[in-house]
Amino acid sequence: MVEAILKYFITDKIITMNIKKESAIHDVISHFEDYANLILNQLSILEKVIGSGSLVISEEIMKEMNLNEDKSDKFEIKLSEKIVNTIVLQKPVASDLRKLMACYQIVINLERIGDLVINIVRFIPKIREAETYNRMSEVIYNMLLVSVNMVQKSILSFINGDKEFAIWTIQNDVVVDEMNHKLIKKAIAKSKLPDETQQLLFSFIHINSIISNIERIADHATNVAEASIYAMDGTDIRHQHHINDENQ
Amino acid sequence: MIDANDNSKWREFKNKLFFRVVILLSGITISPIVLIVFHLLVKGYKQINFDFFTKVAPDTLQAMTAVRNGELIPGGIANGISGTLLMVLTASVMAIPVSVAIGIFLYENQGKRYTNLIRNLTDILQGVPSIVLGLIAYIWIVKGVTHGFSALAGSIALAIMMLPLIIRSTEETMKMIPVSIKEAGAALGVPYHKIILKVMIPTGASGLTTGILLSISRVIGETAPLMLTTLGSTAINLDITKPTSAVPLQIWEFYNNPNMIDLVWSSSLFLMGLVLTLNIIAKRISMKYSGNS
Amino acid sequence: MNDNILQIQNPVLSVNRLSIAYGKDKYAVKDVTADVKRNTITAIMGPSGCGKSTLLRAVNRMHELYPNIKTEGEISLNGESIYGISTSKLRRKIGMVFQRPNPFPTLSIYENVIAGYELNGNKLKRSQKDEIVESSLNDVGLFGEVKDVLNKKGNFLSGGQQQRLCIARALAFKPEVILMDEPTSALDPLSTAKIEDLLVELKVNYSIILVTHNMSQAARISDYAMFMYLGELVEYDKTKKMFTNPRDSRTEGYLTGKFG
Repeated sequence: MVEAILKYFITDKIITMNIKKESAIHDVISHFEDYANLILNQLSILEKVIGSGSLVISEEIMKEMNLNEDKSDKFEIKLSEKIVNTIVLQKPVASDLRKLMACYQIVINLERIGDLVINIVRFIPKIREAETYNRMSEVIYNMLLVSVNMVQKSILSFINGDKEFAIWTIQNDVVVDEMNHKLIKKAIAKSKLPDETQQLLFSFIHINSIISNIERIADHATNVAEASIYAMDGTDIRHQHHINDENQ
Repeated sequence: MIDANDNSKWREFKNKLFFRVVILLSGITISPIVLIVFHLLVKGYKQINFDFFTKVAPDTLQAMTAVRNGELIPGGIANGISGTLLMVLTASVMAIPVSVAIGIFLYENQGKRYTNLIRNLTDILQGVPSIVLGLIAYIWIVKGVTHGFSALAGSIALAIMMLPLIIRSTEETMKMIPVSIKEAGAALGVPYHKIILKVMIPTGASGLTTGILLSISRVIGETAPLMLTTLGSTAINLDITKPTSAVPLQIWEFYNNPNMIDLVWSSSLFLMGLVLTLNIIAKRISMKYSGNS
Repeated sequence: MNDNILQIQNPVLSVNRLSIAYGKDKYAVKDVTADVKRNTITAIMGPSGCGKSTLLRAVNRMHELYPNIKTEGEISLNGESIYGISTSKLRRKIGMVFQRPNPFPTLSIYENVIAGYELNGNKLKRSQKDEIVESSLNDVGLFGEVKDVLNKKGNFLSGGQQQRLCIARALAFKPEVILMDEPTSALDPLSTAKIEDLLVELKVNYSIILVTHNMSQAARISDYAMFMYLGELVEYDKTKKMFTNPRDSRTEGYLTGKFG
């Protein structure tokens, strides 16, 4: 109790030196925490979907996830704006600056995570082979669990300043990478399809990867263009083409 | 609402009343000067002519003759003017360097114990009656050096009177110069004594000049010390070891001679004019340069 | 010995275990060791009373103007101890500019620039003086503005112009090092910006040490920065490193406004 009171007074004294700067940074971080919670929530819904092993996703769930994705886009724009404002107005240096710059980068990555979640749930209904999917869903689920755990720990490492969690996340990337390589190959190898078919499948998978990566190149180019417009006009036009997609 | 109205009317009245009282009191304060100058002008202008400045004082016979005939008293106060000039100049030459140096010394050594002692002594010196200083000069110079009345003795007395004024004004002037000027000089590698001579004194020149002019205007009219030291003379004398005349001394002589009354007024007018002029010049200088340092 | 102190090759100025005390045991500067790199702007930052001004003034021995000063340790300019030469000679090699612009009020602009020589009694030919005045005023970007009024006294100049005049006065000796004690704190933002640009130009030919309480200024124009706290040199590093990733928690605290 005494400690809490003392801490109040001491922190009070520190904060009074730079009220605007401290509150601006505090504002950014608390918004960031809300955003992080949104993404984690989205991920936990995804866990349920994949954990169910079913190819059918209820309308309710789809609606919730789309709503979250919408909010996620808005969060990215809002947070980027807040961070830029804080930097220009409060001129933070040293650890304050690094925190804001890291936050900016993390927000971009969280938004991509959100995008990927939506992409995943869009692909699930497209699968026709219910049995195959069901069989594999356990492995997929495990991979998801590890990845989600990585997201949780990495976010916590930033919010709490916990280096252990950050290191753990970076080391676990290898694990997920391996799962990525092995899962499909094992599944195809285990299926009793003739060799030629298996080879054909492998080839299609690789070609698909190539095409996906090319598509990501185009995506990144779009991001560059959006940033360029921000530099010129000061307007953040990210996610507006997503909105157009949805309207179609 | 009604209260506010009453109060403001009362306040306005108080304002006007106070203003008028201040004007009245100011008028009362100024009036002696005005009356004196006016009186002197009226009584003294007649005797002010070219001769006034160039001829020596007449003797009693000449004056008596002129008064009886209703003419202007012949002659002038050339001996007094030359004597005053001689003695004030000598006193200045002796007093100014010494007192400026002491003033700078006091400024440089502020806060030290002997500084306060010297400053206090200076203040005491300022309060010594001028006739006492005349006595001292009599003993030191009239008796000890020139073995007779002399302009030198008078100059010494006047110089001692000038000291406290110049010391104080020098110290105050130096204090008003921003320290950054000294620092600028030091940062250019200028040795300390040169900073004082070439930077501080020129910068404070107006303040120093004002102090000097004021102290001159103070001693130019001193009579008592001169009576004990230079005695007076009927001729223009430029030898400082001999007795010399001075304007205030002459006023005293004229006063004692019923035939020279008119000359009293004119010499007083002259002296007054001189003092006023010096004061006005000093004031002008200090105002003109008050923005500078 | 402090690990957070930079090592520099062939420094223009070298401070070694410098301690300065007023009276008995009131240390303003405690055991400071640092080398200053040639042709850079080195900023000295720190909260009020940290000893930065005292340290700066020790470099051209101006701190000796204060009474009861005791100095320990060494300072050398290009390897030569500053205590081995007279202060007159030293201050020709190390010039100083102060917080409040202080041109000599009784001297004209021309005379102000050449004041270092004149007041020291150095006789120069008129042509030499003209050259020095023109070149110094050009270096500070003032010549064009005042070339027609060189014989007027400088009090009609704006604060920024007066400060540039003071810089020109210091440059007249073509010193190695220029010390600046918060040179823009008394100026408006536009004049400050002009002088900051001037300093960046000047560092090509001179080494500049700048005391400032304005962190942004240090961040904007300095190449290296020293952080002092309670008389100690806490950290000394490249400016961009110190402002993004300071090593000492005291530096961090000062930069993020925890105290100051």
